Amino acid sequence: MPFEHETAPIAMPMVGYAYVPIQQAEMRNIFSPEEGYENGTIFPILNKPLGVYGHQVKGDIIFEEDKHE
Amino acid sequence: MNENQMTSDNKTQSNDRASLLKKLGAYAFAAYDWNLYLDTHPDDKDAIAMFHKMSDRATELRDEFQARFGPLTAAASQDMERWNWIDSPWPWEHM
Repeated sequence: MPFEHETAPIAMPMVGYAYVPIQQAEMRNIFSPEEGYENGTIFPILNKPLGVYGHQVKGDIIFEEDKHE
Repeated sequence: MNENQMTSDNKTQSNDRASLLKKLGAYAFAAYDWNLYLDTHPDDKDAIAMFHKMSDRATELRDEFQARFGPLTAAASQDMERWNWIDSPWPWEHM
């Protein structure tokens, strides 16, 4: 699920350089330990199961950020 | 000891063991995820507090598990008469 600043652009994209935007601390919607154990992460922003991963990059499916609280 | 010989209390005991082990796994995993996050965000005080909250809880669960079901690591073996580290269940054995 894309979050607002998840697809921050970079000034000078270089061919052959990998670029991973820094993860922002989103304290308000951290998974519970049990939820995190199932998802493989406690950070929703990093929860990219099959079907989610890859879609934002192609931009064909945009998800609303799901508010936990 | 196969399935039908298990008395009901062994069944509940093995359910307790499995659920306690899973809970320990969840908290140890959460602590580790905060650890990884903190490696790149060392000044995030909230995250430091969360790390300690999760890892303290994992320690409690580990102590409780080991007191009830035996050592999870060789170093945690307490029995000075017998090396109980080798007693089952081994990871692939189901109670």
